[in-house]
Amino acid sequence: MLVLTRKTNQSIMIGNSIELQILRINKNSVEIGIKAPKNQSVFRKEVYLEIREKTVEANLSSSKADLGALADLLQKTKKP
Amino acid sequence: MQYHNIEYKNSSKEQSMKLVSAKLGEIEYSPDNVIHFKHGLIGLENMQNFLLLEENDFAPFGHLQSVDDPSFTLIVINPFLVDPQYSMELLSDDLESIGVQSTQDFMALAIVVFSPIPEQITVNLKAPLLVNIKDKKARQVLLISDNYTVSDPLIKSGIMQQYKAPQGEPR
Repeated sequence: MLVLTRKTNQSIMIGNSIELQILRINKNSVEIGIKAPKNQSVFRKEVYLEIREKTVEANLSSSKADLGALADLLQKTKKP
Repeated sequence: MQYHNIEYKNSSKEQSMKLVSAKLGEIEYSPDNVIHFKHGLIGLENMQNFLLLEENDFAPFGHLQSVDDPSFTLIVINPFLVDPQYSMELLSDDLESIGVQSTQDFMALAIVVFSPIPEQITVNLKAPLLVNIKDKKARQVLLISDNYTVSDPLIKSGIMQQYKAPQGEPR
């Protein structure tokens, strides 16, 4: 991993179009400003991993799914 | 019945393609109906091409079958059915990225984690899939709102509000 030292308000460029700026340094956290093109998604890593995990879980769950039974159940409960 | 108002094209015979889904068996499809995620799904960049399969028996659920990996099948539902108050904030950039100019031109799908116990079925309302219904360009987006999570229970929500556990079972 590349390690760079930056001071408040200094930036890092990633390629030509992504800029990370150190905005504020607190005791245990750092505020980072991100400028990136609209087609680039920016995520907190834990959120990114959580979404991936749920999608993988969704795929595994689908193999056991009895959607017909569930759809029937829904239809029944809709009727008065 | 089409719960997800995507514009399907009828395939001419020479165009028709086939895949064998581990879950759904043999599927014949037209390349025109392939939904394309240029950047793949979030965290699964290689999952770029899907077919949306709808059957009356499974409504309001649908299957999103990967064309890239026949063993990858997701159950999806329209998030607006799950939560009638569902709102997707700050979508203009995301919509722009799939070439959508008006809200009429796209549909949203939420990924379902199925469980045989209905109370344990969850829906990812935090990161829905947006699909341009005309050219099938798609993107999974992350909503800013804290009202939604990646595993919201299906039961407490709109469509399932009337659901009651079968009689005789402990509540």
